[in-house]
Order: sequence, then C-alpha cells, then structure tokens
Amino acid sequence: MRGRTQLGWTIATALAYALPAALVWSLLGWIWASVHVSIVSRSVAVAYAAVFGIAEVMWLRLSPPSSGWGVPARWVRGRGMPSRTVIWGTLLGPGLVTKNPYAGMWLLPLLMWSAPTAAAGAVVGLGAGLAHGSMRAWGVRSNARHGRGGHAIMLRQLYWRYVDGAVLLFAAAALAVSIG
Amino acid sequence: MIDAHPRWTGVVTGTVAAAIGLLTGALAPHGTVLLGGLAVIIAALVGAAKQASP
Repeated sequence: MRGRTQLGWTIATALAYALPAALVWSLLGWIWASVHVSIVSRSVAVAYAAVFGIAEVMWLRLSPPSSGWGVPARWVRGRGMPSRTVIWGTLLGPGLVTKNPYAGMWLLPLLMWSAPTAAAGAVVGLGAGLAHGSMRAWGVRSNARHGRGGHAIMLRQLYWRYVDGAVLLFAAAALAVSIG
Repeated sequence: MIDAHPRWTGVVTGTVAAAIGLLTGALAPHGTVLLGGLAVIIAALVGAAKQASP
C-alpha cells in the first residue's frame, strides 16, 4: 500500500513539473524560432556552448546567467502537499525563474532560436520542457526519499557541473558541423 | 571552488566529448532532429542536476 502511495506521488509530482514546463518551453520555442537567423543563431549557440563547456570541465570560475530567486516560503506555508506540489511544479518545472548553476540551461533558448521554423521551435521546446520538468521532479522525489542534506547536494552539484560541461562541448561540436 | 580532480582530466573529457559531438553532427540530420535531440539531452541533464530542494 505504501509503495502504491509513493508511486502515486511520484507520478503526480512528475505531472506537476513536466506539464507546465512543456507548455512554457514550447511557447518560447514557437516565439523564439519565429525570429531565427540560421547561421547567426547556430554560431552564437556554438560559441556559448564551447566557452561554458570549457569553463565547466576545467573548473573555471565562470558562472552562467542565473536568477537568485527562490519560491518564497510564505507561498507554500500552511498548504497541503498537493497544492505545494502544483506551486513548486509550475515554478520549478520550466526552470526559468529560479537559481540555475548549470550553463546548459541557456543553450536551450539558443537551440530553439536555431530551429528552421516556428513549429520546429515549438517541437524542440516541447521536448526540452518535458525532459527538464520530468527530470527535475525525479531529482526532488529522489532527494525526499533518500533524505540528502544540503552538503551532499552541494558536492553533487560540482560533479553535475562537470558532466554539463562535457555535454556542452559535445553539443558545440555537433552544432559546429551542422553550420557548414 | 573545490578542485575535485586535476585539470588534465577536464581536457581529456572535453576532447572526447567534442570528438563524439563532431561524429554525431556529421552523421545526424541537421534540422529539427539534431536540435531536438540536443535540447532533450541537455534539458534532462540540467533538470536532473538541479537537486537542491525547493
């Protein structure tokens, strides 16, 4: 019975995070791809991914753009778990307004800007939103289940940043070939 | 910043990642498939990496 409750919460959390993220990102993709300038947009994406990819794998002090905003405690205080999950999911699922230590995040709008049509931009955004929201929900559920403390989470962030850098360099190279 | 490993490992990792990226870019279709694939991989990674509690 407990296992079924856990599964129910995991599915509800995933939906609360992934659906708003998919909506927000596909809308952004549609708008952003409408003003695309093919070679320029891909070149900017390659340069961004290369610079931040090198910084992240080499442990250099170059922070990506990030807001310092977090969901205020008073917004969720006194509410039940379903309401909290919807509020957190809507704000954290898309990942645009809260703290972001990974440069990979801001390559996503550049990829949408590089899409050939507005519809393609929306499809790219939809995929990004679903992937980000679902995996964000997985991280939240995983932390809640394993009871990880702030120190353990901070240490893991260093390694995630390294992996993010490697993936950025992978993306920079793949996009560079696609320009030619 | 904590130095968790020597910088040369970053050079090796970055070079290998870029080489795989070049190969992928050469073999994959250059339109929405490539952009969408990259977007899904990066978004999933960043989403999973943001493990700080809300």
